[in-house]
This record gives sequence, C-alpha cells and structure tokens, in this order.
Amino acid sequence: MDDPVFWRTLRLTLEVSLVTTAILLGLGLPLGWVLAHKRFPGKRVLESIVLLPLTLPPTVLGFYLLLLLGQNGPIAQTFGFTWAFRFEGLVVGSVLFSLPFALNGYREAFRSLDLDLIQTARTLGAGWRRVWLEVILPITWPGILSGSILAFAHTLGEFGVVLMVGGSIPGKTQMASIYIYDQVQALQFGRAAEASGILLLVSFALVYLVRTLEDVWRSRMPSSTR
Amino acid sequence: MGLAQRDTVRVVAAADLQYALAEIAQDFERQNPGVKVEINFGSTGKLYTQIMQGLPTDLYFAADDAFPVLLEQAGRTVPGTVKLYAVGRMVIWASNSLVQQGLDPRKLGPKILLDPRITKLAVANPVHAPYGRAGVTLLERFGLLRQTQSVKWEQMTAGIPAYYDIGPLRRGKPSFEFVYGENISQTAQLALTSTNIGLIALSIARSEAMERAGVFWLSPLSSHMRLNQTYVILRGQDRPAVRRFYDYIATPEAHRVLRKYGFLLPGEKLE
Repeated sequence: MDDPVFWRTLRLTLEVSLVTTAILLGLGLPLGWVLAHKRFPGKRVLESIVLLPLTLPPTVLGFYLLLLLGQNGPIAQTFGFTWAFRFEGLVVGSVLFSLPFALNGYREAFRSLDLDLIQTARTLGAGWRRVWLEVILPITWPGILSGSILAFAHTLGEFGVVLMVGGSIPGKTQMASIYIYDQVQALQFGRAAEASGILLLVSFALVYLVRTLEDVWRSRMPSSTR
Repeated sequence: MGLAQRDTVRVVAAADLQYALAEIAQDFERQNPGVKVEINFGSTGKLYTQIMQGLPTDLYFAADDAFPVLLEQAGRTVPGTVKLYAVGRMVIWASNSLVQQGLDPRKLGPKILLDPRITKLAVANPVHAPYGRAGVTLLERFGLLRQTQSVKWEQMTAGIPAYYDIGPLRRGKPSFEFVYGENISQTAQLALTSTNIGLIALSIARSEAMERAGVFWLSPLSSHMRLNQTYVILRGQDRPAVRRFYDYIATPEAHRVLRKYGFLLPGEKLE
C-alpha cells in the first residue's frame, strides 16, 4: 500500500476504535450488570434504547448527531463548542453505534455468572472491590473481552455514522471505510482493493480471536450451566 | 519562495475537480515547500451543507455559482472572494462494450439514449450535484425529459421522477431508468461498473480510467444549464498560504491544467 494517506487513515481508525472501546467498557460494564441482574420498571424501555442502533439506519443516527453536535445544534448553542467533523464527534457516534455489540457480550457474561458464588464471597467478608477483582472478572473476562473486541471491530468498519458526523477530512476524520469509498469514487480501484484487503485481514483476525475466547470461556464454565 | 511557517491549506471541492485540482495542488506544493494542500472532494451541495454545519475548511470550490453565493449571503465567507475559476463541460460517456454493439456516442450524440438497448443511465443526483442539474437540463433540451411542474431547484426535495416525466421517451422505446450517483465522480464509477452509460463531467471523462474504458460525446455548452464554477475563501481563514493558493488558481500554470481536463476558462468563449 503506497498511499501515505491510507496509513494515517488506518491509524485514526484504530485510535477512534480504541477510545470507543475504552469508553464502552466504562459505560457498558455497569449497564450490562444492571441489565443482567436487576429488575426495575422501564427496564425494557432502557434495553430497547441501547439496542436501537442495531436496527436504526446508521445515516439516521449520524444525521441526528450532526444536528446535535453541529454548528447550529443545541450543544453549540448552550456550551459553545462543536464536535461535528472532529475526533470527538467520531467517538460519540461510534460509542452509540457500537454500544449494543459491547453490551450483548457483557450482559451474557454476567448472566452466566453463578450469583451464589458472589453471595458466598460476600458472607465470607469480601468487599465489592474484592468480589469484582477476584470473583466476577476472573470468570467473566472472556465474555467481556469478546464484547469489547466485537465493539472494536464494529467501530473499525463503521461507515454511515462517521460519514455524516465526520465528513471525510483526510488524516482528521476520514475513517478506513470512507477512504475505500473515496478511492472507489476516484476510480482508484487498485488502492481500494488493497485497503479493503487489509481491513478484511484485520476483521478476520478479530473474529477469530472472539471465537477462540468463546471456546476458552465455555471450557471454563461448569457443565451444569451449559 | 515558500512561506515562513508551515501551513496546511484545507480545501473542499466539487468532485469534477478530482483530477485537475489534485494536479494543481501538487504543482503548487512543489513551488511552495512550506505549504500542504489537503483536498476533500464531494458533491457541491453536500459540501455546502457540511460547511454550514461547521466543517473546518479554508477554501470551497463549487461546481456552480449558486452555493458560494448562498454561503456569502449567510456571512460565512470572506466578502468579495467569490470568483469564477472555470466553466464545466458535460459529456455523454459510453463504455467500449456499448460502442462494440454499434452504440457510439461520438456518432449518435444524445440519440444514443433512444436505443432500446439503453435501459439505465447514470446521472449525478440533481438534488445536490450541479452536474446532475445540468444533466437534467440536457435531457430536457433534447426532448428526452419533460418538466411536469415548475419548481425551483432549491425547493426540490426529491429527484427527477417527482417533477419530470420521461413520457417522451416511452414512445417507441422502453424508457430508461436513472441511476443516481452521489456526486459526479461516483456517477462516473456507476457508468464504468454498472450502467455502461452516463452523463458525466468532461474533466472526469478525460481521466485515465474513463478514457481507457469508453468514449464520449461532448455536449454543446448551450445545451444545458451553464456550470459556472466559482470558489471562495471561508470566513476567518484568509491566511497568507490560503491567499497564495487562491491566487495560484488564476495563474497561467493552473489554467493550463484546468484546460487539459477540458474546463473552459474565465473569459474564454467557445461557442
């Protein structure tokens, strides 16, 4: 791949994906726990809202975000900054769009957790911090990791949302999928093919990793829960 | 030469400039080692919307003069910098495979569209792409499309079918369908990879990929909406490097490149 712009684009894409995944960990873990183990009024509404990006056309989400984050949007009016066409805007869009993917993984991981274990640890005097570090995470990490990897991979290939919110500024907001789109439009089919091939390899590696983690996870679970 | 500090000139430009402006920017960078030119291509209308939403950019190259004027009216430009840089030309491009079937636009001109073997035509989306609008007027001019309702372009929210009737075409041959490109460059790609025929910009038809894959008929300047292409400096961005690139567009050197890609230059008359 001889185009330096592509490598800048790929680096930006990885940065957006990493930051998004980190934010999703902070946001998704508590949310995943609540969805897995708590009952409260309006739970189904909350679930529907966070899963909405699965069915919502990405351009719809991107369009609303553009209005929200753009020059004339409520955030610009109230706080005086615009996140449209910037790294921050890409991240906000990506977090919303990849949330269901992370959340599904987290929720399933927490659901399969034997709550008696936690009860036992608690009655033995362990604080919540210790319970998390020594009971919950050691059992659920493959599920958490696979949720995170899926969210990462999903962000990597995102198109509609980032096209709307980010535009396509080379090196600044041009994500990999948009680079490919732009190259096809410029009739640079060779470059588009190379970039697509690289993304294909990365995606394959990530999915392979998720599958491996799933197997690790299954083998760790007591057979009674399968 | 060269400016004191390193600077990046951010440009958004109509897709018909894909090749010409990239070449001009390269020449400019060679002569001004301190300056980098970053170009983002798209449809004129889409770029206009993005600028209104806060897209950070220094220069805006449109494919028709309406949008820079709208920006100026909205107070988003450096006053007095809207300037004509070229006049766009339209062609009917057809792939070599059509030519082999005896459908040669160089001989048939717009009549090629009356052939029953033409079932799909690639056109830029007229809602936001100037070449799409010009393409519609071209079809109107040759009686291939009839306006059914008088509507200002600005009021249009839908594409051709809502306001146009391809009835005239239905007599004697099955009508063709429009396949819309997001901008003129994507329209060329559609013509190249799927429809085999399209209304595209001469500047794109002159690119290596399109020259290799097909031939075109150059439509007379008077046969479609005139594509007065203007550019403008955006408010707050009147830096020395930006001004230098702005001025460079009007030099004989830049004009040579624009002419090479088939653009008519300001003040030039052909027909």
